[in-house]
Amino acid sequence: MKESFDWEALRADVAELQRPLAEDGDLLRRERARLLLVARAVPPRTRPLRKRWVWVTTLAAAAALLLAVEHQRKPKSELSFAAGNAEVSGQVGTWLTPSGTAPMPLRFADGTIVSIAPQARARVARVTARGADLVLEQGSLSLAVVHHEGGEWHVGAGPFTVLVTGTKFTVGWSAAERTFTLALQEGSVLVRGPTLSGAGRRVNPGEQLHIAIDDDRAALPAPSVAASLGSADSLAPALADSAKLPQKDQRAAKFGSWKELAQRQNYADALAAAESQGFDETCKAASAPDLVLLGNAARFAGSAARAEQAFRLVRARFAGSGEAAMAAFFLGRIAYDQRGNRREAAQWFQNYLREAPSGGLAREAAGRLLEADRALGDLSAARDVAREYLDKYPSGPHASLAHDVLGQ
Amino acid sequence: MVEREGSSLPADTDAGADERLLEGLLQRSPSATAELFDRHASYIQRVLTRLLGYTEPERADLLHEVFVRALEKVAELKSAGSLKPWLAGIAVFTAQEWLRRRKRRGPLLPPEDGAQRAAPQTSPEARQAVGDLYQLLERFAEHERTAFILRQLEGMSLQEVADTCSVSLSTARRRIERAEADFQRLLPEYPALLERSQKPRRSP
Repeated sequence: MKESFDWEALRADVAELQRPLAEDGDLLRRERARLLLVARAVPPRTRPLRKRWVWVTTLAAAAALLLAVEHQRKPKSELSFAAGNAEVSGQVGTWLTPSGTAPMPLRFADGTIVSIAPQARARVARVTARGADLVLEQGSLSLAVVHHEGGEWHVGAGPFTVLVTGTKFTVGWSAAERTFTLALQEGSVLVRGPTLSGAGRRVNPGEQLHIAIDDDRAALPAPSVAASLGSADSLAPALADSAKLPQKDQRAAKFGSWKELAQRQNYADALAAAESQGFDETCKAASAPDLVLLGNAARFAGSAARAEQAFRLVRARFAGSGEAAMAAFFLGRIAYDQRGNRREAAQWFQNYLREAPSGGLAREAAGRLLEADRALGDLSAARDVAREYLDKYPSGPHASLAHDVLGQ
Repeated sequence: MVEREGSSLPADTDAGADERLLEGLLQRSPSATAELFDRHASYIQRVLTRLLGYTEPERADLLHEVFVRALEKVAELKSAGSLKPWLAGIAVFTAQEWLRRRKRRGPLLPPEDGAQRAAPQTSPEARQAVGDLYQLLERFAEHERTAFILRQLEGMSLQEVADTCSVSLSTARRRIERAEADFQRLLPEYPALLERSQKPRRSP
């Protein structure tokens, strides 16, 4: 390298210019918390074994074990499902409503059957090898979930989430009356949502849960802690902990208040309530739908920073969920509308489209991505987005912009 | 702030502390995970920033990914004393992987877009020069770009570059030499960079 080149000067320029990025304390604090949240779930590995014979022995044992348990293994691929009596292959993210007076069945490959009641509206938000996430917007669903080791089925109904193992139950949500109902025939489920403690409410066979959000409490008497501790459910310790800590229950009771305010579209008061209870703690206790609600309350209340905090937490804690995809979309909105950072916005909208290509916000995300790419002057990318947009949404609100871009 | 010309990876003074940390990480101790992050996150964040050179929303995700990968692979770490260069190596791998993904979509983010969060007191000339530098670096082959940044911008020694990139000393030297030759060849196309780096140092 030529001696005339002042590397020290350039290195100093780089260091100074990048200092706000390299020394971003807020980012470090967020990422520290995020890492600690997921660290326990990172699969542990043992130290590598060095002796060849140990490897051979270990591999032979592993092969034998694999053969022995092969018939019990769960399928690695995502569960497929058929929608309706015509056995049409179901699509993740598509809203489903029975057309007549008969319910619409969803038949999953593992034998689980979900029945969408007439006039209900629901969708399969995500499928995995071990289950699926269903979203009920209105009406009721009946589920007969086949029990598998490690099965993961969730139903979101309004602001409530039902965690399912193997069970039969019917869940309902009335958006107009803001009423959640659940009737359990077999097994047990855990319900989380407004007016319930942070650990949730376990519902046992024969019980019915009826919660009107405006009510202060759920209609079902609280289950006894002793009964909960007696079950093998891994969530029982959390339930027991919440029963031991009256302050936590008090906070949980308060926690409902910000949500009620947000649901009444009183966003400024909702944010103030969350702040008064401790915003970080409120986020920590919140479910994925709650965090999205909180993020949007903060966004509408004008606090982009708090909104970003909530949405980023959704993505960190509930990666892969429908809410995480929604959070990506809203982070894009904030980046575009409030930060003026179109590059970042484009990336978030792209993330949303990758994670929820048929999601409820896909059209808007594609349109916003088009706007962002065009504003950035990235015409090549904008044209790609425009073509895809017109293919999918020829009459969409961004169709004229897409035509403009393709005409340039 | 002037970076070190020599080693950017000072040896940890307490070898016993590293051993204990490694044992804790192998046992998935939350306090060990926290200690790993507290001791090395700033450095890894700086290395990622040097390699990427601009603001990206993924910066936080990449930092997270480096540490998650470290937790996954910690059993492969041969010596507790090499924890820091080992982490830097994971950061290099993660950044390269991301850059490849990002390039598939289109041109990388121009550095000036990232300047919106840059230190406000830096001069326009400095911003332009650094912007030119990263544009020039985009024209390098991936491994040469990485070696060059670690050596010239992060100030690592040749041995540290080799350790971080998991290559031999001679390979690291060859990559840096090729990158330097490319740099000299391309430099005249970037007058702001040329001017800034050949003048006597000015205050920003």
